Amino acid sequence: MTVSRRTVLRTLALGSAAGAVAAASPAGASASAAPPVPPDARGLLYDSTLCIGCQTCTVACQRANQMPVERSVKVVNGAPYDFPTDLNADCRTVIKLHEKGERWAFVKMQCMQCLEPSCTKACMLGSLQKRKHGVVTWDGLRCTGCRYCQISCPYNVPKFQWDSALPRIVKCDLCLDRKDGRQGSACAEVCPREAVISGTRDELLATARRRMAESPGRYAPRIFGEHDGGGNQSLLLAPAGIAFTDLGLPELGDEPPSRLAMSIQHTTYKGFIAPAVLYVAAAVAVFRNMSAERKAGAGEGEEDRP
Amino acid sequence: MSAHARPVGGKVLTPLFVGLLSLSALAGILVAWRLVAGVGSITALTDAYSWGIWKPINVVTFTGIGAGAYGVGLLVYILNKGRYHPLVRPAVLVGAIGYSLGGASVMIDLGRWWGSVFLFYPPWYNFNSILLEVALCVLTYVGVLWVEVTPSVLEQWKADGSSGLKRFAARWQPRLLTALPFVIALAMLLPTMHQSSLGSLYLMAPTKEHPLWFTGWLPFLFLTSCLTMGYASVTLVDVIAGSVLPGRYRTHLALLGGIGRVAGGVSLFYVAFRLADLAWTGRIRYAFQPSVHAAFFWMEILLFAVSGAMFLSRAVRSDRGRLLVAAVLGLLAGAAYRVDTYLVAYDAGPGSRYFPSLGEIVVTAGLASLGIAAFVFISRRLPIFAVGDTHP
Amino acid sequence: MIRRSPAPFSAVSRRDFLKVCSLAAAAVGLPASAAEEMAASVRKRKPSVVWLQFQECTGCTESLLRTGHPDVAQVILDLISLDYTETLMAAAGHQAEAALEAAVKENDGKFICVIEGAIPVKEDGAFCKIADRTALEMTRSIAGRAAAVIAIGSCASWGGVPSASPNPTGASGVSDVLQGKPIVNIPGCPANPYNLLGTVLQYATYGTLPALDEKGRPKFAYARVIHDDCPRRPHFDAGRFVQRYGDEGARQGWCLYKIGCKGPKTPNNCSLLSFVDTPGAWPIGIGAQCFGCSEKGIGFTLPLFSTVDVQGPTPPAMYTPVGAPSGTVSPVATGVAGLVGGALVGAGLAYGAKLTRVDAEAKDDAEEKP
Repeated sequence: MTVSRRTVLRTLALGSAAGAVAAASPAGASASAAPPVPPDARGLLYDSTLCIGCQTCTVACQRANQMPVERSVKVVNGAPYDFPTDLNADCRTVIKLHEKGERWAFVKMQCMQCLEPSCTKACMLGSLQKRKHGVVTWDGLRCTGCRYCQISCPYNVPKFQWDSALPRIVKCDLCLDRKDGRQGSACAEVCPREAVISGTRDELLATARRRMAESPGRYAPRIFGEHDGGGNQSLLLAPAGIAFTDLGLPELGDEPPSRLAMSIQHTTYKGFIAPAVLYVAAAVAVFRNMSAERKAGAGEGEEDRP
Repeated sequence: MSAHARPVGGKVLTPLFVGLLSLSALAGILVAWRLVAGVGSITALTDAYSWGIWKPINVVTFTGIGAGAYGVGLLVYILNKGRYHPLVRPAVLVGAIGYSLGGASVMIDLGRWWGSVFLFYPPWYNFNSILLEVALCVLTYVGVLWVEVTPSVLEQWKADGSSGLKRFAARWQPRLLTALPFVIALAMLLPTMHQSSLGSLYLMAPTKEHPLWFTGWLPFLFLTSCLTMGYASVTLVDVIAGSVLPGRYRTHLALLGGIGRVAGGVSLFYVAFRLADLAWTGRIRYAFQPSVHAAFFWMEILLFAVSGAMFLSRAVRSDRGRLLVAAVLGLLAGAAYRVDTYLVAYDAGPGSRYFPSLGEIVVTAGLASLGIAAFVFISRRLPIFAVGDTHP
Repeated sequence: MIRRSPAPFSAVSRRDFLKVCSLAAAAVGLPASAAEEMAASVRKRKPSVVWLQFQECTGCTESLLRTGHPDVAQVILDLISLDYTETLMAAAGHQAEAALEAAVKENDGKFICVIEGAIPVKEDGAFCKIADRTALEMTRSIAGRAAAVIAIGSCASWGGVPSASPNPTGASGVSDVLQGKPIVNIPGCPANPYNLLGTVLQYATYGTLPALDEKGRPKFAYARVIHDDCPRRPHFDAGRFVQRYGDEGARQGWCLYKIGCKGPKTPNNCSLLSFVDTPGAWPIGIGAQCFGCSEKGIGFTLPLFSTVDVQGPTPPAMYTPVGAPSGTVSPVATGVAGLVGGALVGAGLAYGAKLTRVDAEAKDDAEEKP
């Protein structure tokens, strides 16, 4: 009996140690390669220095995807405001303002189409997946409405229809499924200044680099999404002197944000060996203990009661 | 052994029972309304805080309370401490009810609850999903726990059923007893998996969790805290049963003392481990910056430390009143840690805020009272407690 | 002295005169009572004005004479003593030269010099000569003796059309060739005569010049960009843009920004004060993009269809900040949660204490009994 007990304890220790090793060494995990770029990966490039804040993209997006236009009046900066204040179930892209003293900059929020998205890792039945063009799209049949995608998305992109009995998850799909019969991303189509353009990831990176080279000192020295969080398909340029965090973007480093969780989880459950071993050990222990007890307890009431 | 267990009996429809049921009926009305008008209709949930109290309290805390079955099971079946057997049946029942309520809450909370039928369709499984692991584990474990309750049912039928039921029970009881070790082994494995994974869930949100809570050890800390909660809930149930059934049921003070030693040890280990982890990575500095987060952190640590110390104190362990206080504090500690991890430490961005709506609170309270009512009802009708035992 | 036929002008009633003065006073940003003072001052001393024309098209003069309100030109001409102007004067040749000489000598250091047209500076200004004197010479010798200089139109203000790349004549604005004089720039191609009228009226009435911005333009007219007060601005705010000439948006009168409207970067009061007092008589009014005629570096410089940055001294307040609050906290729920939680914990602790007390009493009883 003591043998089985020791075995169990050892197995337990092994299991948690495996998780522990993975947990304690994020550096070790980062050795793994950057996520692959789908060959036909498409995205959007948003250039904050060109954006004039006209919000045509929001209007066009709502129109192209046939979403109800928000009419509720909110209070923003002490004044009534009847436009979406944030991404929500009726709004897949929105322009926000960062203002600090004299400096200010617009930021366009929409799905970043991560190369290794957290939402697709979180999704139980694979409703959210990278599909055509590497775009993360939602499959209603596979969605249980658990909203774990919302918890895991570092950009707070997936939105949920809170007031519907048959709610859906709403997010930018680069207008792959436009409802007005046209092709291409509506926001990029209408943008008056090419502040948002659509294209393949390579094209967008090239455009971003070209713009940065053409106007030295105009841009913050990094393309957000080139490496952030393992890289995104939708990229962002900020004006010089404005940090991406000021624009409400998270600081992710070059690792996909789900890497730590995945390395712990996949180490612990690798091949389902640890759980299987644990189960066998537990079964052996329980079986031995119970049969021993049954033998001993042929005469009842023998447990050592106080 | 559990052969001593007998139904408590007595009138079911006491005023307390009716009160509990009416609260859960109120919750039921709200749930019905939610099915028509959407999750947002009765909750204060937003896209920023898309998991409210239904997750950390209804699921994570209820199952934490239900983890008594796991904790006592570990002692009895794995570590072969057979003397704790009298505590098993109530713990398993609490577990079965707690986990069922957790599962029910998930179904209420799921926006597209009908989609969960595909949880039985393996080709669609996303093996990266921690939540999928939790869901499948919890689903299975609910079944396992009720299987663990069936010996009581069969026993009752055998003793006091119609002739048909008697025959059924006589036929199935031996088979069940043969299969039981394998079921129990599953009952040991599953909570190890999902209780830790309840913590892993928030590993997916590294940018949103406060550094005082975010650590690679989240799964381990959740597993540890489920043990302290489980032991506390076993203690709570046994003390209360002893005090509401005077003369018929005596609180197993000596057993609880033993459990308390374990609970106290685990609690203090938890405190030491958590502080050591924070100190090792330097994140402990956040605990000394005046902030709401630091206050909640210290409150948790204090609750764990105080309840742990109480459980370890001989004066507490020999006094059922103080033991009850220790158990309440222990449950509170575990609940605080879990709710904090899910809500207080979670920050979806500047300006986002959440406090449960009245609807959420009523549903949570209604489910909790439904659970208590179910426990009272079942323990009156089935042999759960060793009633009438004469032990010193 | 130049005298125009008095007949049509004497027909102006005092009432009409006051009306125009009020308009001008409003344009300059003076109180309504200023109109009375203006009207009164006109009867008194009239400032002498010398109007020089260099590299220009006479558009500014023409628009002055073609205001929708028929009296503006007359008001100006009544208000001042226009001693030299090539377009309007009857004199010619030596007679005209003599008039110019006399006016400058008579009012030395007191007259106002209005300059219309750019001044070529390459080849010693040989590209523009009047009576054998270069524009450069005339500016220095005549404007240099004036009390103040008003540069009307974009050409005189900063070079305008003649200065368009490659600018073969070195066309420059007045302020580029003349220093040490108060110079009021009223750019525009052509400039709105009301902006000239306002400036002249203020000088004639009070002897002062309007407040100027850093480019020497009267603040009353050039403090805000056209975009700020554009009648099509709501379409901009709502994201409704003309995509190309003649499309549905163009017919609906939507915003012209996307086809290159330079309104967002061009300070002028076109959107507030109708050009020549005729509503709709300006590019945006007829569905063409503003091309920034009055703004150096934009008009005659940027391609017609290229868009410009939208600028403002502060960003519009009507945007959601990056960290806008979301979610609600119901005070009732807060209270209820506190009550429920507190009651549960309190009950647990109280019950524990009670059990301890009961047990202690029972123990005491047990000890007492035997």
